[in-house]
This record gives sequence, structure tokens and C-alpha cells, in this order.
Amino acid sequence: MIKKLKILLIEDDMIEIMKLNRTISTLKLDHKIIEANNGEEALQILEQKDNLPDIILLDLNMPKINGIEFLNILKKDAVLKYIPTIILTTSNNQKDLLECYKTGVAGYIIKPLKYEDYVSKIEKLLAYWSVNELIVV
Amino acid sequence: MADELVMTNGKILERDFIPIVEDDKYKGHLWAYRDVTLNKTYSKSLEKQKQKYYSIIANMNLGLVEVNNNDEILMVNQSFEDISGYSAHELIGKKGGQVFAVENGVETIVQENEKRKKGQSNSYELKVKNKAGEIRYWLISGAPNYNLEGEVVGSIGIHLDITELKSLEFQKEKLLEKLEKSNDELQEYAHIVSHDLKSPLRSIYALVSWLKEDNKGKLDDISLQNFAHIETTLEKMEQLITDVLNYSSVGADNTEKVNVNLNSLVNELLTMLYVPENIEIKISNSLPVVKGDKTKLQQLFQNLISNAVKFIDKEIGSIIIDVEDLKSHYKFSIQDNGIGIDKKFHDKIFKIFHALNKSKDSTGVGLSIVKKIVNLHEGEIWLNSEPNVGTSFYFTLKK
Repeated sequence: MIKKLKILLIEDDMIEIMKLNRTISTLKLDHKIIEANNGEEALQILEQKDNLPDIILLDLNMPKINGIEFLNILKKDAVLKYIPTIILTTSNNQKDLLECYKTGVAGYIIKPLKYEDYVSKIEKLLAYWSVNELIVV
Repeated sequence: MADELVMTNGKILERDFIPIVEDDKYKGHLWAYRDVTLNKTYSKSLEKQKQKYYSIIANMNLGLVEVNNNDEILMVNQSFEDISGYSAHELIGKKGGQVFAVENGVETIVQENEKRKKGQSNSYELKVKNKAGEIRYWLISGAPNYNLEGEVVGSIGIHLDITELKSLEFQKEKLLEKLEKSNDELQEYAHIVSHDLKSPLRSIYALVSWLKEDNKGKLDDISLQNFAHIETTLEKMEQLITDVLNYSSVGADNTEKVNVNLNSLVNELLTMLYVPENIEIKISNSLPVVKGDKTKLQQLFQNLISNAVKFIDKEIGSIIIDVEDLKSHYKFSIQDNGIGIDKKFHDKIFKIFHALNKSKDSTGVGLSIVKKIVNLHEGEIWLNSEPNVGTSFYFTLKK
């Protein structure tokens, strides 16, 4: 059965947020997107333990708490550490990639230049996670 | 009572006499002559030798210290007085270790002296403080000193002040550290800049896509064409940023060199690269295994082969990859029958941003990366080319 996912998107770029929303509506997918413009906002959202997202899409380059710092906070939390977190970034820096997988991510996707490529990547990503069994806490 | 007579032939005789008295009557002298030439010259040359070594010790530019088994100073030479700042009478009878040593120097001296007591000669560096309280570095060579019975009674140490040398060494270490840090920072910086430059390109691309999508059927051909132009411009810009980042990455990280099988690397590469059907790529000789960075070597071949592919204008294209075994290096060649490069550009093409053909897919960085990679593997790169006939790139890689 294909699940309806609750997705927390942590992204500071307005157009990137528009891209994800538009992609989901074009693909006619029935997922719910919660937006957070930075790490602090995301942590606030994650405080509501009865309304946690199924997956998190995380940008690395953000002001205040950057993606890797946010990831570290997440992985230290007894509950939040179980939420699959997928990095969505421009950085193909090997150092970042290594650091993310070391801390624990469920995927690392590089934002492509072409919008068509972006749609195709997001489609596959969401298709994969909607057939996965997820821990319900 | 003996006296010496020097003969005209150089001999030295020792003369002795005994008065002869018989019945209280003096009868005369009994003279005895002994040839002592040999003895005399021997003691003279001994004296000479002693003088010679004494003057060497006094005048040499190395500090000399004689100590007994308790590390108490028995003798120092003039040079040691100079380098230590102390005069001989200030030092004699004192323990060397206690006068000069700093940090764990006392320990070092004790250890090294133990070795000498066992009869070993040694040489070590020591950080010390001179009379003025300045920190100096000495290189000390020591050897045990024996008495006539063959017992170790102390040691003799030669001291060379190597402070200048040492400070150069420290300076070099510091510089290297600084260089490494600034290299890392530059690398980080390149990544951040590339990220910040790429993000707006991606946004523009998405916005253009949406304009097209939302106005489907409403846009005329020229507008659609212009949108396509925007997209190719964005692609080229993105490629340029990627290339510049790659260029700055080559040589920045020092991954360890491993054995790379170029035969399998190039064959694998050929299955990944886009090669039009009219172009045949041939590898004439089995390619060797070289020591190097695999990703960089792959980029090297990829850039050169795709360059060759890009500039073939003939109906039947040919690219030949070959290798020749030189003594310390391998010499590779990649030959194509493409458009060729005019002689006057041969030096220029390896410089960054000197693309000769400003086309969609050349940013002018590729060959400068190639040169950087070749240099990183202690090799050279050059070319032979004739316009309209073809180009051969040659490069060497260290074995």
C-alpha cells in the first residue's frame, strides 16, 4: 500500500520550497508538506511529539544552525533520531557527504540544475519512502 | 752528569764519565758514549704531536668539554666558552647538565652519559640555556674517555651550536602548517562559492520551466527559442562553475597514491563516454599500471578523449591511444584526426580560460586540469598538431 507521507522540508530558499510543492502537485501525489525555513524553526515543529513527520528533507547550507549541526541535534534525540532524514543539497563536497553518512542519513541527493531532473529525482525519492515501513513513535 | 753532543751527521750522543781512582790516585776518566738519537726524536715528535692537537682543540670552532664520570666539567676549550657564554673557571667542577639543561635536558644528558660509560660514542641534539639565558640548540657528539688501565673515567663531548639551523627548521614546519591550512580554507571557500553561485542558476531554471509550463500553447516560436537560449546559458554557467571547482580541487587534497590499472580504467571510461558511431577509438598497446590518484587519472583520460571526440570533423573519425615505456616514466599518446590546433596556440591551450572554440560544451578549463594532473604525477604534457589533419597529445606519468 502506498502511504501518504508527512514530509518536513527544512529549506531557506523560497524557490526551492516552491519547487517541491509544485513537483508534488504536478505529480498529483497526496503527501503533506510541512515547511521550516531554518533549523530552529524545524526544532520547534519537532517539539510536537504527537505530530511528527514521516521523513525529513534537509538542506545543508542554512543560516544559524546549518544542516550538519541540525542533523547532530536530531541524532542525539531519543525519538527524533528514528525519522529518516534525506539531505537535499547543492554541495557535492566529499567532506560533507562523509560527515552526513557518518552522523546518519537516509539519503543524500544533489539538487540538479534542470527542473525536469529535479522532478524525476523527487518522484523516485517519494515513491521509495511511500513503500517503506516506518517506525511510528 | 751526562751531557749531549750533537754530531755533525745529526746523531745525538749522550756522554757519561766515571773518574778512575786507583790507590787514592786519580788515573783519569772512563768516557762512555751512547747513541740516543732515536729516543730524542721520539720525545720531540711526541711534544710536537701534543702541540698540534692542543692547537686544534684551542682553535677549532667546536666547543669541547671533558667531564668525569659524575658529569663534572674538567676542561673546556675557548670555543665552548664562546658558545656557552661562561668562562672556563666558572664551569670547571660544575655539572654540565645542571648548568645548561632546560626541560627534559637533564634526563637526556644522564641517559647519553650512561651510554658513554658503556663505551658507546653517540650524537644527539640538546636544547640548552646559555649564560645570557637564551635558548640555544646544540648538537653534541660524545665519546668515552679512558685511563691507562682502559677504564672509562669520563667523556669528551664536541658541541656544535645549531640554533640557526634549528630555527630554520621550525620556520619551515610553521610555514608548511600555514600552507596546509590556507589550502584547506581555499578548498572550503571554493565549495561555498560554487554552492552560492549554483543556487540562483537552479532557481532561474525552475522559474523558466514554470513560465513555459504555465503558458503552454500561448508562446510563439521565438519566445520558446529564447527560453531555450536561457536554459543553455544556464547549463554553460553551471558547467563553468563545476569546472572551476574541479580545477581548484586538483592538487588541493593529497590523497595517497595507489596502483592504478590504466587498461581497465580507460576501457571502463570508454563505455561511459558518449562516442558517436562514426568515431573509432583504438588502444594499440596494453596500458600499464601506474602509481597515482585514480579519480584524477580518470579525469585526465576523460578530458583528453572527450576533447578528441569533440573536435573530430571527419566522416570517419579515429582516436588512437598508445603508450611507450621510457626509463622512469610512461609516455602516453592520444591521437585524433580532428580539426587540429594552430601552432601559435600550443602553449596557450593549457592555460585556464583559453578555450579556442567558445562552444556550448567547452569552458576552457579542461586542458588546464589535464596539465595540473599530469604535473601532479611528475610528468609533462605537449602536443603535435596540424590544422585540418589532427592532433596528438603526449604526456608522461612517473612509474
